[in-house]
Amino acid sequence: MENIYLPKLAVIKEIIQETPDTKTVRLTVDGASIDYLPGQFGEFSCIGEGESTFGFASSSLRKEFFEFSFRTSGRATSGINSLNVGDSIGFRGPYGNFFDTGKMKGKDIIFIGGGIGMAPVKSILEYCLDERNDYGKITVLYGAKTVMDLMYKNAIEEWKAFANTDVVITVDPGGETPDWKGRVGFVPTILEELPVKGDNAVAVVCGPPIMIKFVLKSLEKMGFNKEDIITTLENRMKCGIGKCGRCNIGSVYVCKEGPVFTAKEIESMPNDF
Amino acid sequence: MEEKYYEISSDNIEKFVNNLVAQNNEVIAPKDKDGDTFYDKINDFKDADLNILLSKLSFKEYLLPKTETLFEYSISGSNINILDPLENTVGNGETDVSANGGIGSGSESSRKKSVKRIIFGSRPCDAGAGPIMEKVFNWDYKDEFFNEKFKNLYIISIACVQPDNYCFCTEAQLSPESSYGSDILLKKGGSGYYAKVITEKGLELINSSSENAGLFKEIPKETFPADKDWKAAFDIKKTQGFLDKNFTSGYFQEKFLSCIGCGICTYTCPTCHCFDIQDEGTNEKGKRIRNWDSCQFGIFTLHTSGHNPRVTQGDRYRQRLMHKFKIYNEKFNKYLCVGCGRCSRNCPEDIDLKEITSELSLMESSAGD
Repeated sequence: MENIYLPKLAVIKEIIQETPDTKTVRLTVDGASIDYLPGQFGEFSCIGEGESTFGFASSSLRKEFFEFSFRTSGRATSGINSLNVGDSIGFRGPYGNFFDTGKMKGKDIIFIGGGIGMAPVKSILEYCLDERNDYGKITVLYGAKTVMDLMYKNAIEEWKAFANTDVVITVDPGGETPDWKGRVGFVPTILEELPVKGDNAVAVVCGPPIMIKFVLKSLEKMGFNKEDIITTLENRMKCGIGKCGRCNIGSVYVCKEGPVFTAKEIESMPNDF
Repeated sequence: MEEKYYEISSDNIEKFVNNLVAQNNEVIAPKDKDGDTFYDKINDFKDADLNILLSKLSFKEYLLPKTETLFEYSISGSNINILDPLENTVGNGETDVSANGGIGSGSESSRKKSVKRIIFGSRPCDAGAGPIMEKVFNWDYKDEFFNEKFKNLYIISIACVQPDNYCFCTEAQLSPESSYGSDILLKKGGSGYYAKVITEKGLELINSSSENAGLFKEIPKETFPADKDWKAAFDIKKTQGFLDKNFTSGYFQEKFLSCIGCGICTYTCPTCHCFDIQDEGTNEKGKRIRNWDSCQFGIFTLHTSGHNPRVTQGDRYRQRLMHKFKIYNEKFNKYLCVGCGRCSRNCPEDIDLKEITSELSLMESSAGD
């Protein structure tokens, strides 16, 4: 009889300290990655401390590992934070829907991430970069509160190395340091200053709910169709499989019908996220 | 199966129940405990309190225990061992469920595999909750913790004669005489009871021994007393109609200003099934458990960032109404409510779900005029 709450044990291959309170963990099951797609999520746990929900942060085309990023905040993440390379992490998943990369092929794409919401954006971004020739111009806009809060510093350098790829990094006003060379301003403000148009283009967005709400408005102003604005919503979840009853927005269960939605789909949801 | 009808005398129903106990089944019935009535294990028919309208709690915890082990773990160094209870359990699934507040005897955890768990004297509302919850636990991913218990639960209901002011089962699309979710429905009358056997499981109980079979006298369907003409005081579809259109209505914020967010409505609800998952133990051994949770608690939807989609108690009670009378219905074409009224009876602020659903229904009616 299948126990749908039983985790597999995934082994920690590498830990990247992104910022003082965030880490990215690279995992393998039986020495390799698992089958998943960008946009999907899993339930990751430190056995004995608890389980938390995280989206995948890696490109699923890279077969040697899969990764997620977390901020140490509560009991479960403190537990995960205490683990070392070689230790095991409980994993259930992958769950949920995923980005429709077929719909994105041949188009310009702008990837917009805020804070730790950059994690699922990184997954689909690196997936597209892995098949760079399938897509048009790629723009990345990533914002964090302060310079210290910027994650993925090594990955950002890798993104910049791709042809026809612009990477714009911004920090909130007041979050800059004297030697900061990137942009200063909130993500929606910087977004509207970018030379990006909605024609034959797709926008991928994830970040705090308040950022998503404003970014969706900006993108529409810039001429993006609501069907071409894709976001991923990360509501609080426990089971990840439609039973524990807390991730719904109106009638939509984020864990099953999401977490990936278009702005058009979000428009029909009540303001409950 | 085709329904079968019987008559059984008061003496024989007592014999039947005592036979079920003697056959080593776990028989659970409404039972007095310090002045309140709970579903609890009985060893004799006389332990059952069949006169009260509704027990304090439903028998939800026999399907979804307040705390349930999802797996056990042991850790030594970097070695982690996980013990799956479903692999080790045959028959009843979780074996440490004891009635009401965990006051159970050790004998319950050593229950034999073949033992049936029989609820005797369920009310139709409580019986209706099982198949309603079953849908959630089986859309897409199958929850075998629930399924094992559900499969082994046999329900003998006794129809109500007179609902009280908090009851609204008829409005919730059941009725005081509904057999939805029951294996056998009893109605008082004749020399004791009339029995309608609805399922194979019900028939299995009657035919569990030749002695039991002899206690029931088969009667033609026409002899079984017809249901009274229960009339709904309001149309629950209109309640749903209001909820469809009025997410931002000020009604929710005003109506639930008095709500203290204690969650007793969800705790006593036969169909509320939301749960939390937690790890409990040391860093050497322990278990992952699920516990009853409540949409009435602020932490239920609180994000790590501090953002909370449902800030006020009005937001949270609105979710409860939406889930019960709109969201669940859109997915499963039933309401996530059996109209038992326990949420209202137990509410310290006298927030009355019958009154609320009725008001919403009326508001929808007048909006349509």
